[in-house]
Amino acid sequence: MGKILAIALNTFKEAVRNKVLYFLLIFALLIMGFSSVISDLSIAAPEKMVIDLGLGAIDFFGFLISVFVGIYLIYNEMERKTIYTIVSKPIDRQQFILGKYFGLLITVYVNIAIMSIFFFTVLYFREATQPDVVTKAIFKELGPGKFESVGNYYVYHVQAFFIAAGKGIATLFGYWEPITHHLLRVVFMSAMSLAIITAFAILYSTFSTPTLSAVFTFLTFIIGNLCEDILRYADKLAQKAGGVAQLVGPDKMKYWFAMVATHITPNLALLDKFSDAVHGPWDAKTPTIHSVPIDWVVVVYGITYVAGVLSLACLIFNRRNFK
Amino acid sequence: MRGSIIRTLILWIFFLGFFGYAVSIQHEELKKVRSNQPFEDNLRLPSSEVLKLTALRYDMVAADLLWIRSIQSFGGRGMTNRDWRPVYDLFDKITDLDPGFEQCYTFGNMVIGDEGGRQKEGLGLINKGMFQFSLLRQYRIPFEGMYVANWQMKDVDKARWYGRIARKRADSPDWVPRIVAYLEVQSGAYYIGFDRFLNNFLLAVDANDIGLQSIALNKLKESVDKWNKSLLNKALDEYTSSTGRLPSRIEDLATMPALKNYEVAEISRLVALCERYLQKLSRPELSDDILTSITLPTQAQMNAPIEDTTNTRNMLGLQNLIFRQCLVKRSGIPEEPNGSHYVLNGTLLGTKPTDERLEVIASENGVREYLQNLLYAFRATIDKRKKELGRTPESLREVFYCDPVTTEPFGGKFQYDPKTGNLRSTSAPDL
Repeated sequence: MGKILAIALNTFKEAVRNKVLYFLLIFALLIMGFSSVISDLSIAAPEKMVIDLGLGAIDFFGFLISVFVGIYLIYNEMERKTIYTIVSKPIDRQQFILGKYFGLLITVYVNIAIMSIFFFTVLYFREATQPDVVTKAIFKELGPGKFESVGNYYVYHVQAFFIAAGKGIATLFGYWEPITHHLLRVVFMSAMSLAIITAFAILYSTFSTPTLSAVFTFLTFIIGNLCEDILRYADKLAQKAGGVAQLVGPDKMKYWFAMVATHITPNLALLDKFSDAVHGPWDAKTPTIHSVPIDWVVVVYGITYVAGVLSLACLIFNRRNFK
Repeated sequence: MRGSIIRTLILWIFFLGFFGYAVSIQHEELKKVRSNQPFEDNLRLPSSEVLKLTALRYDMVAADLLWIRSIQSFGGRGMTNRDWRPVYDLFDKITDLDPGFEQCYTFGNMVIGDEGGRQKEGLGLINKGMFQFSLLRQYRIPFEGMYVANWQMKDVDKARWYGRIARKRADSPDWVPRIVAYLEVQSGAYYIGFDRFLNNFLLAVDANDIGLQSIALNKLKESVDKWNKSLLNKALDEYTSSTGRLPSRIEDLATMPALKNYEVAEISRLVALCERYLQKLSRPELSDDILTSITLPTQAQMNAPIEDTTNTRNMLGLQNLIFRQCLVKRSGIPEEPNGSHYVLNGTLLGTKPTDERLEVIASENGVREYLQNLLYAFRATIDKRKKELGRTPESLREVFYCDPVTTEPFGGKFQYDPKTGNLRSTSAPDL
């Protein structure tokens, strides 16, 4: 365990030196900040747009980070021959793979945490700078139509930003307001799906070049998101033929290929809780609060799937000849 | 040094040449764009299935981006031929991508129905959103459907259907049932309308809210009035078709089959019942403020037996009981709920009023008001003619250029005094 942790921390240190990571992070933060501007173009549901774009950005850029950082981790070790110094030590190859995986996962999760804090900050800041809230905060009503300025507009905004940032950090540790209720759960489920994608990035990098690994991981991500659609496609084929038993020729092959594919590829849609965060069930007394129940079966599914993929990666890496 | 300058110069020439040519091509292409209808490209979007597949799990983000596009498209319709299809297509696709996008259904309905005049298509969006799982608790979408169906399509039955759904939704505000009850009465579902308003009234009595009590009681009177008038109008039709002439008095209708052993609710009974039950529950009696312009109960009604109230401690709990006891089987001319009597408006009798507010059968007070308005209009015309002639007109013929053809509403006559220029009605000389 200590060895895995040491490799993981080392991988994390190495990953944070990767400039691609910072570009992706800055881009994600810009999109989240920009979501607030875009939402102003909408005549209705601006919060929905900020939440949609924010959650989407966290998920998608988390995915890009895991791909672009992950695919080089093992390749670079072999390219620079530094792998020899590691495998010559009393470290199992599977410990090496697990260390690399957890190192990459820490990198991805640290980035998710930064993006989440920024996202929550944007939401809180938007709330605090709504025109009516600002008016109430910096003007005192003396009588009908008579107001007295009791605060500075710019100072209020600076204060609001720091308070929002504080709340954003606190939200990561369980604090919530109606606007951020259960959003952390959605981020948690996104993080779980990224754990699966990261495992695939590591798996592919154990036997192929970075370019191919990136392509494979992208394809896995796409197939993972279309898993349920592939199942529907297979069902449609069977329905068209009048039942699975009636399928013949290429259709039969397509059906079984689709069925196998849906069962072995990760079903990332299971971990997609974006819609629940925006439209999920709510309490009639507090209709602005949506709840996102955590499906623990899906969490167990994610953990076991990651374990399975990593086992396969270890199997392949154990047989790999470094010469 | 010289070579470097030449190289730089050549590069500049290359840059200006290539870039300038590219800009000129772009300029020509932009001209073509101008000839297209703005936002026509919306029609060329891929199908919803393809959009959903390509959006992967970011279909809500894709829906948001299309939503922005739809708002631009709506705003830009001023530039176009106001074709509704591109924007409808967008709303349809957005709601396929994000079925829980409530604002898209309501805004889409407004754009397509209210603005575009395609109410049927607007209701298509409403129907699509109304039963989406995540929107099942929200009243807003069916409420919008009710609004469009009733006030734009004038389809009361459809509006009732939407209204009934809106009323049952978890976040439905307390004023929605009142509007739905209004629609029930409008559509002729008097029992339902009366029951709904009775619910509002008893709620207000329990809350001791005089303002709401007054509103609900007025609505109850309105529904009973419409109920009575529907029976009287039916009797009027029966009378004219069986006798081949118009009735001279409202009492002529009393023997018609429509007014034999019919069931109707009575406001006087309602007031009596409320007072009795309030007394039994040891609650304060109804405020005098709400009992103006109302048919007050008779002594017999006040003494009529009432049911046991041990199972409830508030008036709402007695709703079914009160509703049942308000209903009465009777024959003849029904009781007018505003403390007046029903009469025939002789002026409108035998005509088809174009304004739905003008009624052949109305309350005595209503017909008096109608007569007052008629006299006001006649007197204004007489005054005008008087100014033209410089003297008092000798007869009504001199005012109207023909003998007056307007019948006096109560069956009396219009009397004109050529000396004073005064016009009076023999039925209501005080007016």
